[in-house]
Amino acid sequence: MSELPPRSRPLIPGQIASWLAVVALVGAAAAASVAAYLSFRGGESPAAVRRGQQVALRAETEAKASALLSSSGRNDDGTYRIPLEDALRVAAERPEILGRLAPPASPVAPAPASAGAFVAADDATMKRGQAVYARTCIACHQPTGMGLPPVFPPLVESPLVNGDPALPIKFVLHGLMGPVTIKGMTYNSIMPPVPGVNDQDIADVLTFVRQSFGNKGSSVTPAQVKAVRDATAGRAAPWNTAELGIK
Amino acid sequence: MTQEQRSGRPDEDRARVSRVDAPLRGPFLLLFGSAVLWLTLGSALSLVAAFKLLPAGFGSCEWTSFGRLEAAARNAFFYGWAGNALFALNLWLLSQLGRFEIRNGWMAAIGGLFWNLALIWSTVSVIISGPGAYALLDFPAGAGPVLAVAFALAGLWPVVAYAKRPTGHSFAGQWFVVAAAVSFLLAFVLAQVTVVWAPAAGVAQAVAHSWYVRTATLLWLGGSALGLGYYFVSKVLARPLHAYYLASVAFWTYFLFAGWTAPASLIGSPVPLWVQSAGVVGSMMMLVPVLLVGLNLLGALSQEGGWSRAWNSTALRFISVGVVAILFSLVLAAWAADRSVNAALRFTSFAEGQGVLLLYAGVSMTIFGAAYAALPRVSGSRWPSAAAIHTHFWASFLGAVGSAVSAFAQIGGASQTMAFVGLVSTGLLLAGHLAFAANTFATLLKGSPAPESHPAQD
Repeated sequence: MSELPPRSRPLIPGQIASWLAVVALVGAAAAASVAAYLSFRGGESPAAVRRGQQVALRAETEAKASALLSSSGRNDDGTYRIPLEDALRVAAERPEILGRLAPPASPVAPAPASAGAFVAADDATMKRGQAVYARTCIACHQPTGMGLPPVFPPLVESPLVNGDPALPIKFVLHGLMGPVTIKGMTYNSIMPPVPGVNDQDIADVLTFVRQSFGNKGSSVTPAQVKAVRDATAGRAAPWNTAELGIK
Repeated sequence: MTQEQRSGRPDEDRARVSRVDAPLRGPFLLLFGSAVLWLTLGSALSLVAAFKLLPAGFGSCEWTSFGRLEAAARNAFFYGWAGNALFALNLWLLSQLGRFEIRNGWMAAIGGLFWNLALIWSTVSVIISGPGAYALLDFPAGAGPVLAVAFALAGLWPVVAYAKRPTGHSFAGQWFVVAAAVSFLLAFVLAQVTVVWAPAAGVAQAVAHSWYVRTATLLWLGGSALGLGYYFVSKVLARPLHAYYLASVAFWTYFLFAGWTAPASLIGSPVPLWVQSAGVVGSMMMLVPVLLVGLNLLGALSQEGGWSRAWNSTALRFISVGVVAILFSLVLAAWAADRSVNAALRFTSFAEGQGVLLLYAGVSMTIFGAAYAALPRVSGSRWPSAAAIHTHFWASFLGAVGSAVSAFAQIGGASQTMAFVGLVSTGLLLAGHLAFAANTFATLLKGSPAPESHPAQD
């Protein structure tokens, strides 16, 4: 090759070239490992998707709740709503206004009483329900149905369990989060959805729970479970107590 | 061996600062100075955290809660002190052994600058808004990439020095340091991805985190410390290491098995059983490099009055304590990985004590020893106070041993007396580190090269 002029300098000095080579070597190794990891890991995991939905739902519920408290608006029945602070100030200035308050036009969320007399389920249903209970519920709610206060709420004498069967069906299908108060104690845990149970299993286990531990609730049929499952199809996030209007 | 001896102090009698060391001066002093500042800050934070373990305690300010102080102190020690100091010392060591005159020290200095800025940001963030869930990765997510780039700028120069060495021959100290630098950067990048940025699902995240902690601790800190140990034992004793031909086996087994010890910290947790078993096997296999390093280094120290010569050399006094502590803590880790032993020690302060032995009595003491030898050669001025060196040795030796004893003694249950012993030991560590810091900054401020006289540490 042609002779280099004596004072020519390389474009990249030798030490920096070596350093770049080392960085490139380590970087290539890191990039290969990261690429392998990412392809092995795949896309978003279902758990991460569900977590994201939970977070979004919680934020939405909180936004709704704070909107109710802090901004004026119009209710579904056509009446007007003013923020709580304003209402308190008005009431303090003109106490006579309190006397003119009318009760709401329609009672909110009537208590769904189970109609008809108590009919005990047959032994076969109770036995199947007990088997499902022992498989899926017993770890938290305990063999006695008393739960583990203050973490896992009891099923005994719980209006959530013994009232409208649609509620416990929803809990089993999708889980429940948010505070619930049962027999004066507040539980703020998350109940995960129960995997691997079909409509018959859910009907059996809820019938078992609603008619054991001293509970006297109506039986639950697979048709009721199917109706709730169809009505809530596509839902992945757990139910939120604020969303259901549960206290 | 012979080349290590030849290349150690060229022209020591004529010029204190050699041709190899002179261009190192800027980045070395910057990195080492900031390391000492982090060491002092970290020890002060540890002392406040140790107060928190006494029933009297103090205050209920969120910023001074134990978790935040402990996390900030751990990061300051790990990345601030050991990280910065090893940037400086590894570069110095491999420049020595590879006769490497660095011409681009400014890159290392910029790397060190960004490393320290990211650490300041992390420490403030940990104290103000609390640490993340994963120890040693608990700084804000944005700091991770900055630290990785800064490490590439500051921490890879030893590898360049190795690649540019004039002869084909190489020494055990070089292997350890080069592998330590490369494996830390790889592990850090992978941990950032698998734990922080694109977390692995479920328990795999915990496995990835434990792997990072062991890799960073054993490979980077432990590997660099053993590299310094290999160099200084043979250098100060001026004799070949015992059974040196086994050093390559020690090196390869150490770097092969260190990462595999990670799942041993997850025994009993809900990770797949085979992962836990791999951890047990990895921890047991670590006994092979422990045995061989012991044979190399402690064997050399045990011949012909080696221990007394080590005791009379400042550098080797610290380093021999450090090497013994590292090996002992690895033996303890192997013992505690046994399933039946682990069942008894799992939720106790045993791991805490073992970590203290490894990091404070082991790695930190080795760094101190190497610094006592390296700093005068780079800065050109001698250590001003022998009394401060003695104070430093005894305070940090007793402090590290006392901290470990305090943790081991509380395996059976928390004890007031032993918490107090822990507090006193942390205080001793801080006192020793303050003496070291005072001595270091006095050296740095003296600045100009001293007249020809033998440095204090020989």
